[in-house]
Amino acid sequence: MLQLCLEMMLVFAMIGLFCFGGGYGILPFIQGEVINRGWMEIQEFINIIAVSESTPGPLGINVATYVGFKMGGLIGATFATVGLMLPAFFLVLLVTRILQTERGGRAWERMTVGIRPVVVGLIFYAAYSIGCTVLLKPGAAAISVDWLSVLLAAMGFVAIHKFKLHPVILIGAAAILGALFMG
Amino acid sequence: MQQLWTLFWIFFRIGACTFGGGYVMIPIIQHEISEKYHLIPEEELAEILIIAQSLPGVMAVNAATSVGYKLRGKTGAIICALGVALPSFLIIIFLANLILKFNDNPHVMGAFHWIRAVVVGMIAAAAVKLGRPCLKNKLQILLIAIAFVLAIFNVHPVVLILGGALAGWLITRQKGETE
Repeated sequence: MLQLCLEMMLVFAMIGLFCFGGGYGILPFIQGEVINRGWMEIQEFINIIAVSESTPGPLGINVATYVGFKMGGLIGATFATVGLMLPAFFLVLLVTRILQTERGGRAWERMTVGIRPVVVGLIFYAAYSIGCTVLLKPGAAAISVDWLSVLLAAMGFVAIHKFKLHPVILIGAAAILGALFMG
Repeated sequence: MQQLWTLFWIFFRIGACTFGGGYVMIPIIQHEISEKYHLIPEEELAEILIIAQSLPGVMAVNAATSVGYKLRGKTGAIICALGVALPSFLIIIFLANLILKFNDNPHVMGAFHWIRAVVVGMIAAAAVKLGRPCLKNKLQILLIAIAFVLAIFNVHPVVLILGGALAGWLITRQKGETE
């Protein structure tokens, strides 16, 4: 138990130290570090994204708390969440001072020119692999496309990208309609 | 002591009331810390927050830690970070119980089936928005493609991000020479 808690703490600390790009910056790490360890299913993770978008607070904290709580109760949740937050102290106490100098700030700016597109590529890949699990149905003989989900995903994209709809409204509507039609 | 409590309360409220993470939180932090409580002058706070946003990790935690450290050192950093993270921690503990309990209810399963599809669209929209600023630069487009392809082959994200940092360093050096 203690070993699992420490492992979760370390894994989330590593994610906290290397995730860039705001909330969805955590996506590239989920498959390799969390799902492959058997701590969570991909479906569960997507549910948590929806919960996170409909409740206050950052996605990273929600994911760490959920995984920690599921695997190790309140203590597990504390270890995982503290782990995710730990690098912030190191960064603020040590790195901020370097970035405030002219040389340090310039060097960091140059590195982010390369980090940003890499993060974009990683998030695109995460979106692609999440899309595959949600939009495809593994059948007995062949994989088939879940056309309802494809339609819903397309509508979700347009609603956010073009009409700037608030995620809470979108998720609320999908929850109500999904419960009615599929229940 | 009183100021620590005030700081905790400010960041707890911010954590409890902002939907959508870091980018939404920054202007609210500026309002609370500079305009309402006059704890840090506006320009100085802006500088702190710009650095906090460029650091890796949870942006809200970085911002809270920076402000707390600036005002009250290490204790302040811990108090502010706990304040901003605690609301989502408590909400998820409460909801996780519900989610794990009602997981086999057909209505809940139906709701989450539709929600997951919509979330895929949302992630795609977020990826496009994040990628747009990189589309002006050919080398950056190339880096997006390289990262995507290497991710397919299971190269670890940390390796790719470190590689990106190195590539960024080299790209900007070449530019500096030609200018």
